[in-house]
Amino acid sequence: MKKLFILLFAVAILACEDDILVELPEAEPVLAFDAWIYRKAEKQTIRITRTNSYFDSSEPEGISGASVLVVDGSGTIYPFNEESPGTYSWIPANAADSFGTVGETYFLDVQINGKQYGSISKMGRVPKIDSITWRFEEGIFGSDDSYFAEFWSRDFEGEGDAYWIKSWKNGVRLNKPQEINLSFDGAFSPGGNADGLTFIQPIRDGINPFELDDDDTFVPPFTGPGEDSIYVEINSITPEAWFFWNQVVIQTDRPGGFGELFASTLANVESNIEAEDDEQVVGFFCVSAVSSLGRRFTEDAIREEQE
Amino acid sequence: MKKLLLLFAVFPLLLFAQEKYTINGYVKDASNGEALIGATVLITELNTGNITNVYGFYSITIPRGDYNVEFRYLGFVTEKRSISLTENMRIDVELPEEETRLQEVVVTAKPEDENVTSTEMSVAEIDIQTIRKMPAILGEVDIIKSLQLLPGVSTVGEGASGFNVRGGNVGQNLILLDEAPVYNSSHLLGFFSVFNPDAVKDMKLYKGAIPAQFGGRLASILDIRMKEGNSKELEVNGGIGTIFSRVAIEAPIKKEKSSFIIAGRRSYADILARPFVEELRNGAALNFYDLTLKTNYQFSDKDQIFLSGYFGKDNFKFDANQGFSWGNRTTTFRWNHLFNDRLFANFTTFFSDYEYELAFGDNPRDRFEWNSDINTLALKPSFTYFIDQRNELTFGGEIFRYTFEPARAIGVSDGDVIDISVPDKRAIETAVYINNEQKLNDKLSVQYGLRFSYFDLIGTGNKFILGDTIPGRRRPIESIEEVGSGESIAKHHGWEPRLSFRYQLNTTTSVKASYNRMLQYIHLISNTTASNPLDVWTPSSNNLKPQIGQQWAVGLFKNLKNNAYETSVEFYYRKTERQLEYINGADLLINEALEADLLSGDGRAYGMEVYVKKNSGRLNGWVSYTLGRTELQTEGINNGEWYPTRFDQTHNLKLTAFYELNDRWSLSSTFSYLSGTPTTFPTNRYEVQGITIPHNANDSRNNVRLPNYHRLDFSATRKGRAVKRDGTPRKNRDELVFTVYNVYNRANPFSIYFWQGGDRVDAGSLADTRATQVSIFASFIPSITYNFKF
Repeated sequence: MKKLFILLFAVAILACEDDILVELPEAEPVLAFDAWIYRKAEKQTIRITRTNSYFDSSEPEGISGASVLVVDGSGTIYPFNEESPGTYSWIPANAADSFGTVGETYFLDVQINGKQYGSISKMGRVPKIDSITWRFEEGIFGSDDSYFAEFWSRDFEGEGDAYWIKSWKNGVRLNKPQEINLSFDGAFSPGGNADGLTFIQPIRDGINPFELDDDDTFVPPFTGPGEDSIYVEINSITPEAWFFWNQVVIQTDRPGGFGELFASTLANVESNIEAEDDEQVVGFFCVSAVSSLGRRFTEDAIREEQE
Repeated sequence: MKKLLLLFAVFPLLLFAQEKYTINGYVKDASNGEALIGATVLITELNTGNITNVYGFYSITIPRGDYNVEFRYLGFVTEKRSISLTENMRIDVELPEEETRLQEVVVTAKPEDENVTSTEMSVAEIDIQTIRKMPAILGEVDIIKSLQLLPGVSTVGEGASGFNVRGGNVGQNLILLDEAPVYNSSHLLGFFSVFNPDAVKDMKLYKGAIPAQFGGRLASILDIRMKEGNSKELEVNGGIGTIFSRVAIEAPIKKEKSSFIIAGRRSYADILARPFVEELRNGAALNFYDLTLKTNYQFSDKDQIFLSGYFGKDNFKFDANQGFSWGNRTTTFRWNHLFNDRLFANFTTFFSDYEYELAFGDNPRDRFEWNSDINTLALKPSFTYFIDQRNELTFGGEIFRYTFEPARAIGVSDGDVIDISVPDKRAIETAVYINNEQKLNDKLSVQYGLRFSYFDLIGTGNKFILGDTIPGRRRPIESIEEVGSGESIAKHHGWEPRLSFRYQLNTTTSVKASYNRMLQYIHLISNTTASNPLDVWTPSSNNLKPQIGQQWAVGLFKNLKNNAYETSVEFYYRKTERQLEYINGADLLINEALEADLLSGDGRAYGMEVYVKKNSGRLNGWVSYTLGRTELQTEGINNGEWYPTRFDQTHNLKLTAFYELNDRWSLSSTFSYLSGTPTTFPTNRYEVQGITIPHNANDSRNNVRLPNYHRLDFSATRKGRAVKRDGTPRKNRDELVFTVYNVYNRANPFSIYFWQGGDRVDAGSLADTRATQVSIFASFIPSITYNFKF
């Protein structure tokens, strides 16, 4: 992908970009839910706010006084208590306890001023990460030589497993829209009918930082063995959540420049949270199981190309 | 059917049962033997006549008598013959070019008043000589970009592939190169079109009033005809431009009987760079090229065959095994046969193919390879029966065999190979048509035709039965039926009536009106702003129904000052059904269940087109203005309300001017002023897991307009000396063309996008959202092209 980027850049030199001020159409804010819960032995948080106007980067208005519960299929209730306006959290009773069980179905139940909002999610299985290695790549068309980190793990046999892979370089979460790394059955998307694969190379490579310098040229993610480290998490997600993130990528990872020729129309990302009436709300509820691994980039972490 | 046709044909003869004879023949260019398309053959005494067809053939049947016959073609010397018609006569004529031609710009090569007198309306034509003189981006003469200077033709923006006609989308244009469809008309993702101007003889864009012989797309037919090749002497044309270097060779094989043309273009930047860039020597590639070939042979007075081919390719490769390439190939074989003096027949068979390939991974253990292809094999017999001077009957048919290969793909991950191919699809499309052009009297002429088309998607294949859901969401697959080899998966058919008439108010003024209904059975799947080379064509099926389009148009045509000025105003209304839209997040590539992600809506487009052209004088050119609207209504988008398409332009004004400074220098300039196209802006934002997501709380589509667009281009041509020092004419001719694109350096907006910026957002912080405007050609672009001919 990086290579395609470099090549297209050669074509795109004529395009130009400017940040501009535009007036946006007026609209009423709506409720936004950020309800992503992980099977981890730590505090879990659900945020309920109102949407901000698009250019408003201030803290959005939190919704106070809501009742927020997550209930599993057997009726066990996980209460989320308000810790600050709009932030609701669940703290494990014992420090070693994680939230939930793989294969279990969870219901989100929220009451705001007597009105009910709900959603459903199933915690999917997650494969373990076997190892992390680095691969050397020679620069092409004048770009620098670089090393790419790869994680090694294999999708489960059987269709319908979806994953969101997160990574941290030197403790910093790689959280740009371009760095959202999704997989469906070990490959990119459900249409391809892949299954049971070692995660394909572009997804293995997707744990690397995506950086451009001031000249918009690609910065090597790693330059060589040393102090750098990487930490990777695979989060199981539902197929609906995969579709959600896929839409988020379309809406947020804008190609820019010449790539705008082939951009998709701006459109709303579908939410899986429903109000008891047909009130429009945004956001997503998902319960993820997590596997993780970290490694420092030492000489012995370099994987020689296998033929 | 055959009897009916015969009756149709013979009936007018019975009405005028007097002694009649036919004159027919070919009209050609005396300098190179190329057939002249649309030349007028006039019987002076009767003030009647005919126009040569695309092969240069005419036929006129009139009573016995003595006549003066004139053969006319603008820019050529009119040939006059006196004949005594006592039997059928064959008169082949070669017209020499006018001496004065080099002194003035020829804006059209058609009879002076054809625009007023013919029944045809809603056509856009520019002849190749004119296209060559227009300023072009990077100096590369471009047929498709030139068309965009005519009324009713637009694009979504600079650099975009294809074109939009009267509010139709890019996939609703049928582009024919010597009758073979070209599925992707762009090089370099859309910057240049794939047609080599050195090999093109004639082109015509039908925006409405589409004759019954054409079908298969809703919006337009672009009929491009290649040159046949100089049948008199060797001719070499060529040039070196900023992007392409070109050469075209044409020559007789057997004088006056057979000739050929071979024309090639190639981008050459990579060749120049090769010594300096190691990757280019090791299999990397950054180039595009096309090759056009044609030959013909005249067996007899009655038979002539043509064989033409086109091969084009774009290559973007990182190394020998990785990269992206795409290209079209077409081959057309034609046989013209005169059954008798009045029955002209043409039999065409063609093969057309569009293919792309993607390959990634330099390690055999981790690879991805994908190719996609659409190909068509077809047979098209067509007949023209020149019944008498009042009736010209065309009839024929076509049968297409399509093969769609959406994805033949494999992935290799850590040594495991997985086949992720999507099965091929096959379909047959057939059509029969009949059309008569009838001159009812001196004032009124009509053209009426009917086409019947039939489409069959055949197995082996999977038939997806889809369930219903909330409009705008992916439809669930309820079941999949396996359909065996040769069995039908889905069948569609329909009638396509065509009608147009012309009423002559006086010698310089006419009104015209037309109606046509079109069906489109294959669909271009594209949900990006501009179409791109990865877009696939997909056939109609049990879920995806054929698109239907109807168009009504009326127009007033008037010429002024002895045809020095041509003017017209046309109004059109298009109503379309089953227009394609896409769910949010649609998975369009390598997805067998693609149809579950498609939506179907209605469309409407209407507008006014004004065209004023000055044909002669040192200063000439035209003004084109279109006032238009094109909208869609799709359940699940924009709350089910009508919304404008992404390429909707309210005002579209274009000026084109040519000025002949002196014998050596000529100037040309174009100016465009276009209303901003619609786009969608968000209203709000929210965060999920640290990512800032835009939201449009009104759920509206294309709710805002981009700023208006305007641009001025300029070019100057300096001809090499026409005579040697001793005063004798030079055989070799050359010219230098200096072009400046975007003269006043305006950064015209292509799009505005919304994002959270390129920096990583710190944990606990909120992204600084912004709007960014993109311009594709943001600065002025000068270039020089050198052209030669000998």
